[in-house]
Parts: sequence; C-alpha cells; structure tokens
Amino acid sequence: MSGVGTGLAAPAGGFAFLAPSQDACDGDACVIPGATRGTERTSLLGGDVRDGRVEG
Amino acid sequence: MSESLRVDVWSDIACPWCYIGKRRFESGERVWRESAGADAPDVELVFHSFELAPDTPEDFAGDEVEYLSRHKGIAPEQARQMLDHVTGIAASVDLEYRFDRLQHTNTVLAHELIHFAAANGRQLEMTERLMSAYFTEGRHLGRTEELVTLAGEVGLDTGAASEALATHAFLSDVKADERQAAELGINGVPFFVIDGTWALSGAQDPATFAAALAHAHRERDSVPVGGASS
Repeated sequence: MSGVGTGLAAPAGGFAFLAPSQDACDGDACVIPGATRGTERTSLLGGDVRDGRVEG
Repeated sequence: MSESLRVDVWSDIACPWCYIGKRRFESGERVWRESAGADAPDVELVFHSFELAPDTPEDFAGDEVEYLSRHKGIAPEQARQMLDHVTGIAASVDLEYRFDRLQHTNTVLAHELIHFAAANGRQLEMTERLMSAYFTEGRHLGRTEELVTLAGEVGLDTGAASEALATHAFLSDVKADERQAAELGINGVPFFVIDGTWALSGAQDPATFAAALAHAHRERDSVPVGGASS
C-alpha cells in the first residue's frame, strides 16, 4: 500500500472552489477535447489575477 | 519557512487536459514562487488515480481519429479537428501531442505503477514519464513489459515493478483513490485540492494556479492556531 489515496477529506460544506471549472476531462468524453472555459466573474480569485501576475 | 503546501491532484494518464494542466500548474507555481519570494513554502504534489474510461480494452486497433469516429459517432474530419485543437493547446505549453502515434488503452496498470513509484519515492517522475510516453512517444501503456521499461527509466527497480504489476499489489490503492474521488464529488479531471480545502477543476491558466497558491498560503497564515472559530 502506498498510502497515497488516503488522508484527505473534504471540509464540512465541501471544498471552496477558487475558480470556475475549465478544460477538464469528464468521463469517456475526455477523448473529445471540447472542454469549456470558465468565466472570470464567478471566481473567488477574480481580484487576484492581473495579466498573468499575482496581486497581493 | 512555513510547512509545505500540499496539492492533491486527481488525473488520468490518458487525459489530454491533465498533462496540459500539470504543465500549467508547474508554470503557475513558478510565478507564485517568484512573487512570494523567500516566504514561499515548498509544494508537495501528490497524484491520485482516476480512470476516465475503465472499460477501455487493452488493445484498440486503430488511431485516435478512428477511435473517436467509431465510439463517438462523429465524422473523422470532425475528430481530426478536435484533436488538432488540443494539440495546439498542448504546444502552447511546450508539449508535443502525437495523436497519430497514440495507442489507446486501458490505464489501470499505469495507475498501479504510479502507486508503486509513490511507494518508492518516484511518483512525480513516473507520472511525467508515463504522460510523455503516452501522448508524445506513442508507447503502449497497457502492457506490463512497456511499463516496466519506463519504470526502469526513472530509476525504479524493474524486477520489483514487474512483480508489483503481476500481482496487482497496488490495485487496491488505485481503487481507493477512485472511491475517494467519488466521495468528494470529483467527476472531472484534472482536479486540484490545495491544503485539503481549496479546489480547482480543470487545466486552469498558470495565473489562476499562481493566485490559488497565494490565496491558500495567505489564508493558512490568517487562521489562528487551533483552527478558525465557528
């Protein structure tokens, strides 16, 4: 046993998503690379990303 | 320097967005590290198994265009356009996707090998080697002898790797990862969890990964000893 698959539990209320999902593989549909992009307005990090730089 | 940030990643070797996501994360980590300077803690990256298509046979006679056409009921030209699209995105992060060489196969043995590598301190090296072998080199990752060769290339004991694959010693770890993914509600990959709290789904832009690491680091420092009060 490597133990890699243990030790992580979602916090009460679930994970806090920092950005909308984008470019993900979902099931067998993954082989069709038509992934969609998220929208910035719903991102918790919306104010943190500026032109590829991280703002404090 | 503070305790390392742990990043758990669910992915599949046969997932084109997972390899792209891995590169974008690595790029984002560099950006974040440059911004954070000496205060940036180490990042502990831990990969978890996720089989996108566990019913895929070991062998499929045909290339990826044929696979898409036959199994998805789309025209070969449409399939080719889709593959060209993701090939272009891969190239933007310096990955060479060769769908003309790719050998579509079941990935459970490759996942078993990643767990074997993890148990021997080579998980990241093995994951990178397998993704490159699958998407760029057209290696057949459903065959034990091929996997053992690749294990040897990252410094693992080939005899022990061969025995681990023959006895499926790490199959239970693969299934444990997949059960955990289901319990956590993860149904798409790559899926990143930072410090067991902050989640990102998909191959996000490097800037988003950088901001996520900065956010997790900042939030960790703001939590009082003993945890946040409710």
